[in-house]
Amino acid sequence: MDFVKGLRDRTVFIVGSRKNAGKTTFLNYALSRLRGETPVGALSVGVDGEARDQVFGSPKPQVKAERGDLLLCAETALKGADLHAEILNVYPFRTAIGRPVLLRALRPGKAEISGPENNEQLGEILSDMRRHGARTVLVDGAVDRITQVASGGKAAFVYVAKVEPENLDSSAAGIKLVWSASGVPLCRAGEKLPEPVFIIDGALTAGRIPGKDVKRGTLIMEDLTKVFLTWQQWTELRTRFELRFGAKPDLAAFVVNLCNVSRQDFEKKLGSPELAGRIIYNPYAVAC
Amino acid sequence: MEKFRAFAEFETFYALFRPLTPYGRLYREQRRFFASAAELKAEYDLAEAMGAFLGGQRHKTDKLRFHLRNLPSLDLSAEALNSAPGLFLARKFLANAAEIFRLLPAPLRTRFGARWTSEELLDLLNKGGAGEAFHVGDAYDKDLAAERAAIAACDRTLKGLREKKLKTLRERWGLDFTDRDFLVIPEAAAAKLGGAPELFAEPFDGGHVTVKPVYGQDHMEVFAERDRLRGREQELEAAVLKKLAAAVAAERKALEGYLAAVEKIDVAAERARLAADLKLTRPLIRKYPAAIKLAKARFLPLETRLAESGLKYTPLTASFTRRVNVIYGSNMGGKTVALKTLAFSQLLAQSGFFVPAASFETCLFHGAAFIGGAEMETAGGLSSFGLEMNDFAQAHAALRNGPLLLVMDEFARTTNSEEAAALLSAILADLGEKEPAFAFLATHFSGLKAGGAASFKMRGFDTAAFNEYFSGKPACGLDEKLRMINKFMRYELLPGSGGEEARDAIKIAGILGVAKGIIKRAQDFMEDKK
Repeated sequence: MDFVKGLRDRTVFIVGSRKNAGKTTFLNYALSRLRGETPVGALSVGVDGEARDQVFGSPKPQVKAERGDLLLCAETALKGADLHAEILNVYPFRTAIGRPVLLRALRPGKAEISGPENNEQLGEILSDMRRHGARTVLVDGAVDRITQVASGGKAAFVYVAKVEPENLDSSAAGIKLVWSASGVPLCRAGEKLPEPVFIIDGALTAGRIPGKDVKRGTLIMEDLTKVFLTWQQWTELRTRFELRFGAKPDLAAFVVNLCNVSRQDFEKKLGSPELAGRIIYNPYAVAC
Repeated sequence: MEKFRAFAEFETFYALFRPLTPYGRLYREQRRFFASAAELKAEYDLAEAMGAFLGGQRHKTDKLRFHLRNLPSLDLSAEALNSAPGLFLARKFLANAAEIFRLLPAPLRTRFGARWTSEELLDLLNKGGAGEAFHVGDAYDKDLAAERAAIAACDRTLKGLREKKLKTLRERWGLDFTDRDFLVIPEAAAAKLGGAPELFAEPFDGGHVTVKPVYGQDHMEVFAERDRLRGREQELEAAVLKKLAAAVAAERKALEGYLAAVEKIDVAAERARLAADLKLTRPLIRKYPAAIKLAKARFLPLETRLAESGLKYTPLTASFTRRVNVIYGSNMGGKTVALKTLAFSQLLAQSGFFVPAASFETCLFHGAAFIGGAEMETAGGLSSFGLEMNDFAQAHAALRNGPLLLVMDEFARTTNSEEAAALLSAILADLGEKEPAFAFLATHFSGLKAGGAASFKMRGFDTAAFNEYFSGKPACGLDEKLRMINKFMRYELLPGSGGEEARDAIKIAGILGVAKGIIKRAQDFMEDKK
């Protein structure tokens, strides 16, 4: 199945393993695939200084907009912009680069997308985009913004990783962790869980894992974006505890851009045929 | 004043006061305390008029709230207006203000100072889009329309050229660039391309090459022409923005008038909403000094808490005709709540709100002070007693500024009763001589020389009813004990106790679980004393 089509009518967070992982490139690819009868929306959160595009080193990640697209741009980015658009809203919250402005493209052009600074603002903007007809909204970056949207349902995320020989082990471990965490069930009301039950508010770091003297029990975490553990720490945690999340966005796909690493070597590192089956490799690569 | 607000738990009410416009929210932040009867009357009149207009008209209320909520903050600086976002906001402001004014009948508009004269300006800005949207539209300049038509033609040409190129690449090299700006292909495959001029190639990694279509000279020429047209379009847009900004700036005075009117409408509508939702009554303000009279006044924070616990709440009815008042009563008898009810009602009234009471008559104060509740506090090395004395000294000094509402709860309770009674008696005498002082003092000390002060007593525990109901049944758990006290405590304020001492402490201690033996001995000691 074409996983990109599965993103239709959802709010999709495109999150990266690190800067220059290829998020914006994937965003542009997904946008062109998802345009249809209803407008698509795009905004960016937490791009924070990602100054150069992965492949061509262009100065800023830009979105190629088509007529009807809904985009969130910073007020300061509008002057001299290539895009001709109408303004649908100017938000009262200030960011370092001015107020966020919601635009509808009136013809094709390039735009530098931007975003709000907190979850409440993000919620308002997403709701505005939907009100103006965008059923599919792509959000570039910031994995930590998923929770609020996840609670509204229909949220998904795509995890984009650029794998190179020097980060092969850490990239594979990162993907395995996200994959494993995405399999942890949601905590249901009234569910009988092994005692003692530990509720972790905020980030789950190694220091917050209950001591080794606790042999069993349940650990309830906010969501997978709050897990800041190594793969080893995570696997150790799973052997001792029943795990649950308070909120959980759907994992739509892993998009992996291999660079000087063979697919075989990478999948060997993953060590899971099931996980390997979920990986989408370089969507712009062709075999010829 | 902050201590007074905290004592009155004013924030629990103020949190419900949620104006919808940025201007109403700014007003809220000011936390006005009106000492002028004329200003306060104006506030009350507006809230009352708005309440009468909206009363029961759900549709109108919803519509008004919709437009108030949508009204943005307006920046009238030249820099802000000279931009599309600035003009978008100006239009949005005008469109919503116009709807808000239109909803109000003419006499009400006049009272709010809402005089609409900007139809032409709004029409001008409306040329920039339909509905909520705004842009520098073709309607503003016929040259813009021509430039945009030329750009659209360029876009069509570019699209055609791109499609033609991509078709060629697909047919010649089997490379499909649909939905992609570039492709990554194996190096071996790239070698077969043999340096095709219609492809730009560069290394991706050790085994792959990135290829992008080269669209050719004709594409570049059209692209350059489009750039030139876009530049010209931007110049024309800038000229239109300048004209529109000037048109808005020319109506600055009218806009500032709308802004002030909208703030008043927003605040009045919110006050009217609270009055309806919480069943508030317009206070009756008399010239200072005047009696403070409360009929069935409700201290909302406590009423809510008791309702949540399923406990009965007794509203306060009292008439304070003298300036200095002493309230006696037993522990848990409601003295503090009586003071809180008074402080809460007065704060609401002087903040421009109606009051939760069947009626509330009062006069206006220049300020208000609370002294008490300092058991757990220390400040700058002062003990709780020291802190109380310091607070009193400050309040006493403030009497020079004008009428002051002074509320003292269990003042000096942390020192020995003999000296405390002497100090309190002296304070009561002093305040009686100071015209600007309107004081309320709650205490369980007996034997005060209250002089000209009025004395009141909380009715206290209903022993007969308690004995009939209780019949030796033990109360279990704090909730049940509190329920028991609540059930048999009569939270009513009776005038003229003359310093009669309250005698409920031992009963309350018994209900709260102090051992029966101790209670019995305490009762015996009291008998012996008699």
